[in-house]
Amino acid sequence: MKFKRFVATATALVIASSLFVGCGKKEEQSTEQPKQEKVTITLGCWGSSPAETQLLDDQIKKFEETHPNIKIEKQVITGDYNQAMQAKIASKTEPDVYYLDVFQAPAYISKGVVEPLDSYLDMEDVKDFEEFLLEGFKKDGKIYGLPKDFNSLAIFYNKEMFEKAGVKEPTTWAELEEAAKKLTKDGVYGMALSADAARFIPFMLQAGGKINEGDNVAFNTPEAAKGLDFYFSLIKKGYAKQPKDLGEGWNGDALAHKKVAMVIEGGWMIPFMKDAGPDVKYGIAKLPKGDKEGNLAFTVAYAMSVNSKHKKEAAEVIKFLTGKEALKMVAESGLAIPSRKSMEKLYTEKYPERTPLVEGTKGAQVFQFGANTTKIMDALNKAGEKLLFNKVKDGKAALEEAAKEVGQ
Amino acid sequence: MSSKKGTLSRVKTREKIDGWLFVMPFVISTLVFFAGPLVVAFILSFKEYSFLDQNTIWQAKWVGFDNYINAFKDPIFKRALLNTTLYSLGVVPIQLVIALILALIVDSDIKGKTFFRVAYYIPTVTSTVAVSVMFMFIFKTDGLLNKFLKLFGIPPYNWFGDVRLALPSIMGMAIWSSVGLYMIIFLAGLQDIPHSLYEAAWIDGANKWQQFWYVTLPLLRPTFFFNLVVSLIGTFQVFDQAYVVSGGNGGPLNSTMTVVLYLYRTGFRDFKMGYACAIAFILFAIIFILTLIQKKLFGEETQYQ
Repeated sequence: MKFKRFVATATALVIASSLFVGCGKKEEQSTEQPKQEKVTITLGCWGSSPAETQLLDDQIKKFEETHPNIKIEKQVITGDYNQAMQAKIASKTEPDVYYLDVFQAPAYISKGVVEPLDSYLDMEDVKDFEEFLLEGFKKDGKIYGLPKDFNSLAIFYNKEMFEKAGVKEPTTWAELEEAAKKLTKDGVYGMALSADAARFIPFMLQAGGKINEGDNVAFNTPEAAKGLDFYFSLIKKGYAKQPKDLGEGWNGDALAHKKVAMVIEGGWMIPFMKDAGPDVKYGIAKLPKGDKEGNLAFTVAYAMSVNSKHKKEAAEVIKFLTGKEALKMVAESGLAIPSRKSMEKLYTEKYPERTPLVEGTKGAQVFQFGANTTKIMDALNKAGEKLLFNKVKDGKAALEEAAKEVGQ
Repeated sequence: MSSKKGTLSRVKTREKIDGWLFVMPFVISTLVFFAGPLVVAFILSFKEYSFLDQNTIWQAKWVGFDNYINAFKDPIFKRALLNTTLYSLGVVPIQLVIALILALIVDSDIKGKTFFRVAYYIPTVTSTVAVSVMFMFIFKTDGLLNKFLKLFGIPPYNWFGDVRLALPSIMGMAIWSSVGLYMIIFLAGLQDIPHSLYEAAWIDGANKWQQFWYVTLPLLRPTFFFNLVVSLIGTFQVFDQAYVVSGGNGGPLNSTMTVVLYLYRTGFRDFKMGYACAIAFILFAIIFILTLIQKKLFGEETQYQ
């Protein structure tokens, strides 16, 4: 009887204590590894299309073939990547190497959670990266991430509609408006435009405006307002419609469902159109020129955690995944534009029709606006909505209100 | 005698220990996953902290009541609070009335009542995200609702894209999706009312309406109170519908920004976890006070038997 009790008590205690152990920190692995022992580097990324997943898997496979002492363990983070990553960083369980979106980079870098990579890099080789991309991951001259690839915006247009209306690829604002006007007929609109700052910022840049100057707001200028006013004038004149007003989820749907003749989107449209609108013959044209060229570039880098226990090996992984061999695979896949200048040619040679995407990066700025990036984006998005709902009289007023909001 | 008593008390102590051991997994998980985070969040609400900080929660800078004071100066928070209040004022009464009517229907002797009970309850067990996506299809510009309205000559509308209509649209969705839950609870309350009371009322000459008014409603009071509290708490914590419909930004023009959505954004997007915790505790205080008021108004236990 007593023995039975003892066993029961002991079991309960073991169960209870195992709960504690589960919550506690994992035992640190011994840092003194024998030379030949395999090191595992965890790689954090978000889930993406099957084609992109395949590309990363192929890159990893190639890495492991050439680096027998390092194993890469991929951790696909589903759901809200930024949220999940913060929780991991707070509990110091983040992967050694992970995707860092240029949009989030200032916050991560200024909080000191990513390791500067300079000491691991060959500075001559770094010159091969597109500078404006690298800029997005720099702080005080140090490099905190190497961009893996990027995409910029371009006009994706329906070729048949263009032929029918006798319209050529627009190269200036005036031509864009003229084309949109001509293409708006028979229930089809010239363009799909959304009140999204990530789409109208290029126009503000094209008008000679700026978004930020370092960590300060610089968009409350007449130039920036001119770009904003032009963008929304296309909607107000009836040549363009918001995708939501057409019953579509986003610009891509509107083009795929032949409800509009033009949309402003990036390279992600290519795999999307293959699935959603295989019968739509589309062309890609550079964004039109205002007073000058202007565009946004969306990029993601590989960054290293400051808490990584195998920094040397983690750096090897980053260098390989952004190296020429891996980026050659990116170029050939055509999924995004490789971040190295030497590889862009490979991309445009294999996919000549996508050349406008690469050419459009002249005058492009990365999708990041200093330390106040999220605030600036919120304020600009709201400025766009205010214009759309006629809550302000013009772009200038909208931008002034937005600048005040960021200042708060 | 005395030795027997001693054994008895020993047995009792043993039983107490055993009892605690049995509930230990639950107690520990509650402490670790609920009470602990609650305390930490409360402390954080007085600090300046983000998950990306390299220093720990304890080392983070103490800012006193600044987070709380800032919240009441923050125009977006005030807007979120207003939206949430409007949402709650709209959803709670309509939801409870409909739920009560449905409960009365499925409690009566209509044919196929089991079917209806299940049918009304299905939205409740459906994920709110799935419901939101479905409603986005119904409410979109060329969606079902607009096609239906077109039959009466009403032009199509971008419901979720309109500053004035976005929040009411979400309210409609919330009512539809959660009414089943309250119906089930009302149904349980209705079936708890002894049949003899209705018989007595009937003998006294009360008609159906009088029976409802003087027997059903007063006896349903505890159930009603429970539903009111749960529904109010639920509506004040609305998050997922607003998140899905607005794509996470509370738009258009903050018209669907709710307190919890704003809290989520400040914590995870603007990296101000301390401020987000302060907002959470303000929300807690509001819900707590409202619940106390409701208890005062509806909560007295009355026995009719």
